[in-house]
Amino acid sequence: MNASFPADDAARRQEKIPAHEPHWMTAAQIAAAYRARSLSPVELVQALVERIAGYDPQINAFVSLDADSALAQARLAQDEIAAGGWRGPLHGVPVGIKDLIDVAGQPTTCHSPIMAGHVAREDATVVRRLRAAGAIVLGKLSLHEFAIGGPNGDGFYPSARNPWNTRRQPGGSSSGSGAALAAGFLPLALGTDTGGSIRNPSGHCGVVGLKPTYGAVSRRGVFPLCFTLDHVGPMARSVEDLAEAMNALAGHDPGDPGSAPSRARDFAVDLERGVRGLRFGVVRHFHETDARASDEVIAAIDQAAETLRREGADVRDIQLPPLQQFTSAQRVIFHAESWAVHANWLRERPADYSSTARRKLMVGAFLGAGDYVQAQRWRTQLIDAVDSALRDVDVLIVANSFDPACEIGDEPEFVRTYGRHARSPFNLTGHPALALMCGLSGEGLPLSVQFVGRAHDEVTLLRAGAAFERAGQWSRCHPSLALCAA
Amino acid sequence: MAAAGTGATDAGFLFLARDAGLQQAVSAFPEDLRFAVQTAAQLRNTLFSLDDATAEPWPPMVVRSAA
Repeated sequence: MNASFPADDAARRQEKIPAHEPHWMTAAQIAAAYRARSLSPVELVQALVERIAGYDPQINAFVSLDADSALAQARLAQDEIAAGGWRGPLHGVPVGIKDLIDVAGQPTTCHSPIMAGHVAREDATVVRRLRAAGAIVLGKLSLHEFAIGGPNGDGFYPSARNPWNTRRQPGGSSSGSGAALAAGFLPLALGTDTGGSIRNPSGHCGVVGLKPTYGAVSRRGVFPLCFTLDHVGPMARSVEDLAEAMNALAGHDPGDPGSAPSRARDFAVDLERGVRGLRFGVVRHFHETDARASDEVIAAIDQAAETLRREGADVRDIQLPPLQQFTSAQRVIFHAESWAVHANWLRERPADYSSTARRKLMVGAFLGAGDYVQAQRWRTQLIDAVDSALRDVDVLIVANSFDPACEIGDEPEFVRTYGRHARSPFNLTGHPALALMCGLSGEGLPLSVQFVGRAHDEVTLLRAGAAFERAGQWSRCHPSLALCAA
Repeated sequence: MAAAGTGATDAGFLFLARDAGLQQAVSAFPEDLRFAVQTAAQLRNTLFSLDDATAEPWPPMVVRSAA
């Protein structure tokens, strides 16, 4: 086992892709290429559409691809840029939208027949803001049904698969977003995260994902799962791209009752500062004693801490309340709120849900009002505990998934491993959390770590992530689709 | 509330499911309902008691200002 550097077998599974291959370019590289006139938006969209047509039948990342519209948007961006009207780093950059986020004139399927016939009348706020920044909406991306199901055989749509190994699950619920990024279908995607649904697929697919602070990014036009746990955020192949996406996405939205008051910020301002002077706290007990992660994950997190030390950071262990306290409170709130959203459909159309979603969504019918209140009382105390820890350190280092991605059809292993993680504590508390690749398993599957920061201090979190990314170089690893398909 | 391990044919379980308006699911998906009842019971048992009887639940989610 070697979690810190690719093992020989794993190395053979990677392609070290030259940056000039457009499908592996980051949004920042694309923007630079546009300005240098070495690439045009139309050329890029055409290349991505071809790649999607060639590989997505094995990956199932897309629910719908609107190539004609994307090409029309690309021509418009091309004309604007040529005329000197460059809007910024996302101008002409293709993005994918998780298919529970409204795009005007397109179906929002939520990956469920329950939503058949639903066509969005207007863009969600996040889509509107991406368009205003000049981004090109390429299509709608696969997810677990209503962001709560899982990969299963009785789903209405095919489940997304992991580009690192198409027999493996890609994580979820933003499964198509993670898979599309890892497959080189697009450089930027939107996900949602109620119990870890941005960070799980980011981790299993070897990309980066940011669950922002609760309230930092609007949820208006996003189909709810749990009102007080839902977050919307960007997924990408570089931390810099997450920062630029946040520059477009963040900001108060009066149309979202959970939207935080905010001021204009540059999320990319500290990306080059490095970690010297930053204090990191490893929440080791979450993944070593409260529950036991796989040896490979433990080794990868130790290696990540060592990398940060080497870069000049102060790294120490830090204690939070036991993981189970967070997860129990989060799950009670999760099931109570999701039942409230779905109760009428579960009463009238239970057969229209997949078994996985139906089972999870009915749990809330059997919880009491007192359980919900008790969980909320715990929540306030656990928020205080995380705030307190973040007075002693600047960033928490927390395990992401406790195991590498399992085989997609291995139901017992999926049930055993899917809930083994330390993501949901920060849906409960609302603190921002960033998922980053930190190694490869012996089987060549991505391993991932989370950095967690103070409320509304995404700038420090992204600074830490960018420094780690530069030191680790994991963002340069990509799966070989040809090998994975074999 | 039903106890953990309640079976799909138990009167208490059926009462709870029907009371929640899930008659169709009782007929068509009893195993899914059993799973949901058992999961809820397990979850309640994992909630820790609070020493402070006056501990506040409010606000249920802190939307903190970034201004």
